[in-house]
Amino acid sequence: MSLDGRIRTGLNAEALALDPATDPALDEVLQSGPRRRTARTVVRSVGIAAVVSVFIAGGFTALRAVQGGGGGASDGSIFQVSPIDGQWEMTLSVEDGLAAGFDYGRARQLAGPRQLELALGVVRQIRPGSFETVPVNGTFQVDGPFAFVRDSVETLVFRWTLTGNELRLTLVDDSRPAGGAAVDRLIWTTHTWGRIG
Amino acid sequence: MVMRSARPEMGTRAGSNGGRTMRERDAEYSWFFRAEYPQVVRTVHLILRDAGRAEDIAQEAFLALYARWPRISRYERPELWVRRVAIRLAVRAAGRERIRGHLERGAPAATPPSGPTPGDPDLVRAIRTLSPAQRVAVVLFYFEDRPASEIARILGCAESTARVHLAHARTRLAELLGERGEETTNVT
Repeated sequence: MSLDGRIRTGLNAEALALDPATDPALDEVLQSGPRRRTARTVVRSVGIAAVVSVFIAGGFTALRAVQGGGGGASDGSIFQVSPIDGQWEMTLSVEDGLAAGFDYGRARQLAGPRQLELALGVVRQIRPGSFETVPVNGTFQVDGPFAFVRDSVETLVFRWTLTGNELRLTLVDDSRPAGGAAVDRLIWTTHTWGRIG
Repeated sequence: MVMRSARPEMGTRAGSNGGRTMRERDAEYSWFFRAEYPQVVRTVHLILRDAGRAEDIAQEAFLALYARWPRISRYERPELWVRRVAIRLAVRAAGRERIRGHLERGAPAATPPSGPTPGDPDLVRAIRTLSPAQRVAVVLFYFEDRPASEIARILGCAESTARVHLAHARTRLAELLGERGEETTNVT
């Protein structure tokens, strides 16, 4: 017998000797098929519900963090409530500018009340009654005694101390030209910032 | 191939299966199952040499078919679909078995065959040394009389690859069985 004939005959003999029980197998499929489809639907629904729950839980956690305000130690990461979160204010006088070495015109320009908003890693400094937002509108991060304030151009590093409702900032690192550094030092560090409300 | 073997019955639930009721659908499926299941089990058994696992795998494939029956039943040849699923499951199982055999013994796995004892034990031993893809090619070509194009479709490879699997398998079997392998086989 040829090789092909031997393979063909051998396979046929072996296969035809097998007589699988068809009806019990069919019953099994007809019973477990719908069950399996139901189970698959349930598993899929549970999966979708779990994903939705995680999103909702995450949203609630973030909301609670926003509502919780200040207090509690920061782990230094952005979008966390830090000890210095809150609204702060102070007022610069013309004399402060003159004492810092600015001429009268520039000192008068810089003088006036300022507010500082620190919330969930976002920082904004404004002059009430004015649309001017100077000099920072960016993000901040607290790491131990240091606060890193970033806008789109640079990073200022402050050491911060909090005494009751008074926040004092000291500029510890500024690699910019002297002019810019002088303005920031004047605005951020001349006076303590008092908490609003 | 569309099979319509059962009449609509009052009180049955009409599904979204082109107006067919669930009972009609199950009747068509049962007809198909009875016609194809034994052959699928035999084919898988020839690949795995394990009757119990062959039945499990065939049932798994027919379960998958049941879930998709409204769509697959409209195919021209639904039996090819269920064969492809069963054979791919079998190839996966055979591959796992070979890997386990290599890991455990450093040699290809040699699971003792279960089920009916064939009349040519040398042939059985020789086929068990082939790779899973070669086994499938041999079984589909010699047992199911399928052309290379269908073997390729079932294996999910190019037709030329299916021919190579078949040629290598035949050469190997000729060596092991001490036969002359130069006989021409018309692989279409």
